[in-house]
Amino acid sequence: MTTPPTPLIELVDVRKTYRMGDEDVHALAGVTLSIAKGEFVAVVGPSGSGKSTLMHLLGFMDRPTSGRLIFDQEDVSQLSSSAQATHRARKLGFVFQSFNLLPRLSVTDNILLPLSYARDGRKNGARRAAEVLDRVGLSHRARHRPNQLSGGERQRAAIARALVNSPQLILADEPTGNLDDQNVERVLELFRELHAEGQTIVLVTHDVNVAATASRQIRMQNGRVVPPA
Amino acid sequence: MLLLNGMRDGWREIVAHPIRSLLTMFGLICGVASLIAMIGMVHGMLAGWRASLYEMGGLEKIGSEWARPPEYQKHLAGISPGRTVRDVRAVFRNVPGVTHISPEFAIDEYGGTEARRKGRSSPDNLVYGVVPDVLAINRYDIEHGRFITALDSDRGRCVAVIGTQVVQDLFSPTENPLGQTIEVKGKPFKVIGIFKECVFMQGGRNVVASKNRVVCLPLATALLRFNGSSPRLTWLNFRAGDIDRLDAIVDAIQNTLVIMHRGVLDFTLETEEERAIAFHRAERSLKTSMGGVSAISLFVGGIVVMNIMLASIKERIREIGVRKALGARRRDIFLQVMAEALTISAVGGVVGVVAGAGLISLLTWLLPGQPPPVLIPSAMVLGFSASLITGIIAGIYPAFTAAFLDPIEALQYD
Repeated sequence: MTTPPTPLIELVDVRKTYRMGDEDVHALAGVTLSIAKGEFVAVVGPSGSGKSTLMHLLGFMDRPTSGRLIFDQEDVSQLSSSAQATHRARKLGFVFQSFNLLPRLSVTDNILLPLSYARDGRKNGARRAAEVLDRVGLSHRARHRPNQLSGGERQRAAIARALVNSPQLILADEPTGNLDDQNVERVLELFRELHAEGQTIVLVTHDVNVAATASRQIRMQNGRVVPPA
Repeated sequence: MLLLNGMRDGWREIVAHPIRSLLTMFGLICGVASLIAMIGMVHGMLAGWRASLYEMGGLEKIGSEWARPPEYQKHLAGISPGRTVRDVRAVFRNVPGVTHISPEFAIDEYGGTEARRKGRSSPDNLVYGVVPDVLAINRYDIEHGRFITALDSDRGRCVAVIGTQVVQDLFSPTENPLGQTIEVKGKPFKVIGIFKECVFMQGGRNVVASKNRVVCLPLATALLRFNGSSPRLTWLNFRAGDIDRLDAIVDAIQNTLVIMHRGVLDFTLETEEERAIAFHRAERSLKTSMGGVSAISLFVGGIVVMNIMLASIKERIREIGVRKALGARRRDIFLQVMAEALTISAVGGVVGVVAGAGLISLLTWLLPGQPPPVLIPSAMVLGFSASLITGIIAGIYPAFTAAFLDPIEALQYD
């Protein structure tokens, strides 16, 4: 029998409650799950199911109302906003639906942003940026501005930016939502390759086909994880 | 590093919208420029005033001028002998605090007097009869030859000591003026001495140039040749030995002169103190008005910078969200916005300093004859710092607004 894989992320009865007027809205109503190191997980569910809230928690942009959130054996449930920012800079790579490259910076400067906020290992920043650009096949676009790139290229540049600080987790929020079929395939292929290299990836989507790329699916509904059938 | 990046971003913002940036910085530029011009004008006035005060004899000098007697003494005016050489002796004996006395008789009190020599002419000179004490009171120095002595005066010798401008007008550079003869109103005078040139350059002009247009004659000679039978003097100046006792000395001179003039108040005594008071009043009003202009400009400039920073943040909420998602802490965003405000105000400050220097040249050109304003390095530093400080204050609120944006909301902002 193999030893169970080390978990990177553990959620224990995590709840997130918002106050909307006089009503409490339970965005997450007791979520318990575990994601192992090196796993490629898709979080699926209809809008309002709590998957965005889950992503914000995993992305250190929010704190649970109750419950425990463990990241790499550290309880990160109630980090200060400054500590959250440092964790984002050093441990996470974000990939967004709308790419979110800063229009006035070159592709390379965009990629260097997480390193400047991480405040470590910046000496080799340029070399590291060249490496990840090469990894996503955009070496020839290094000095271009985002608006000179096609949609697919932009998303690959954004993935390069997510990779530059060698994150423990890549969080992708509908990364294929703004792409055509050909580019969707190319981006998903890139994720599969990264997964094969041992990268932990959490991909949030409502597209069943995209979710099928992942090795495991977590289905959300009404703020809860739907147990696998 | 982040501050540097922020300043680079700020610079990009400025060049991306040159007109908007110029308008943004306009208030700062006006504030800095008027601050520099104001300090330059005050310093110019001060330096010009100090130079002329020194050249005219300093604060120790007490001048006397003829004055119309008051109404109740009008019928008595004729019994006063006026200011004459007898007053000199009287003051010398009765007022021990006076170290020098200079009785002076100007051939033309108001208009310039012409001097001639061999068909050459030197216009607009002060030609006056003096005694040796004039050197100490009016601050002349002899460069060549000698000055007029008591003996010259006693004997009524026709000798003259002349200023450098008169030398230039009447002699060619190769001639030695000493021993030569010049003419004043058709009367010949032998040149026995030449004054040292008076130079006090300010804004490219010699503000004491008039001191080089002077012809000094022995007092008795001048009175005899040009005043007919009247012994009345044009000016009678005194020098106080102790400036702290100036008021007492002025009172003592006043009393002595009143007695000498048989009680008729046909003179006034003047000190530079009154001019000093008037000058300081002018200085203060200039400081208040120009200082007010620059303070208001800087205040308005600061508000404009704040407004532009708020607008620029509003445009870039999403960018701030992205930066936060990528790991920017609140202080990183705060520093970035501050760096932008700082860059705007630094550029505004530099442009303002240049504009201030330009304003000073313009004022120098517009106001010939006035003591020209001067460009003071410390005023440039002050103006630049004022702009920077304004930028920092104006940046604080927008920077806080940006730093405390919620990353989730900022990312979803359209």
